[in-house]
Amino acid sequence: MAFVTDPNLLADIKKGDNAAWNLFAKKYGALIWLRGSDYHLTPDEQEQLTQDVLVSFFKAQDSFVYAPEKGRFRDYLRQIIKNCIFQILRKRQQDNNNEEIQENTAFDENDDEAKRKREDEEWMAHVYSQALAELKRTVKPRKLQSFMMCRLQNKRPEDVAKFQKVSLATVYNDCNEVMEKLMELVKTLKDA
Amino acid sequence: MKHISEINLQRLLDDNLSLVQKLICKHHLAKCADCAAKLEAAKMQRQELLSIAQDLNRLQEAETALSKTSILRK
Repeated sequence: MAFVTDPNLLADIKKGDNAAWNLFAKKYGALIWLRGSDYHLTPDEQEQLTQDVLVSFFKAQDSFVYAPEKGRFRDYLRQIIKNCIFQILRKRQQDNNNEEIQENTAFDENDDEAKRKREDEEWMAHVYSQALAELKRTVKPRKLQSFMMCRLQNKRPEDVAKFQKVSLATVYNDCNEVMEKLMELVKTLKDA
Repeated sequence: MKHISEINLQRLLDDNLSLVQKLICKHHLAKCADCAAKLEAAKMQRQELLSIAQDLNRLQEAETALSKTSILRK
């Protein structure tokens, strides 16, 4: 699978390409799911949320124009997710108490800042996940594994060298090479 | 003035340089603000990566949960 940047993927979705839709669901589904967990949704509600967001996006596809200069895709997606979470919480509250939802239960201002921070962290994890998936295609498995062991799992380079049966210098070279490529990809994807 | 290579900065962070290399690096760092800043940036980058690794694990768990639903199976 070729590396698909958001503008390409969004263009294919607008054309009604089914494969692009599946890719979109795979690419953003986990991120949407995770957003639900930050609002303490149950697993069933998280599934509902993921479906709702995808459906909302599907319905809006004709009117959606990818124009990075007007706003980021992530902000557009964030707003859809937030609206869908609100609907789910409203339904939950109505089911439970037959009362009107109080916005401050889920969208408290103080709490909102913390949630926004989590959102940014999750978006970065999503970006890194996409970048690492791309590196899996383009970088030698040993190099990527050395990088992941040292930099993501915090293993000692000496242990990684032993595990990989290479010299310590090779481990450092591999980590350096992968890090440079990763940072380049992250820079490209970060503000999409 | 020869600056410290990226790899040696990483080795320095891991305490993986020989005593002589370490002394040369420390001596250089004391008078080179650029390399000192690079070392600090490398240290921060490592911490950021470890923090991102935790979120990557959460994302992976979400992917696993999602794969058990009908959303991606259809």
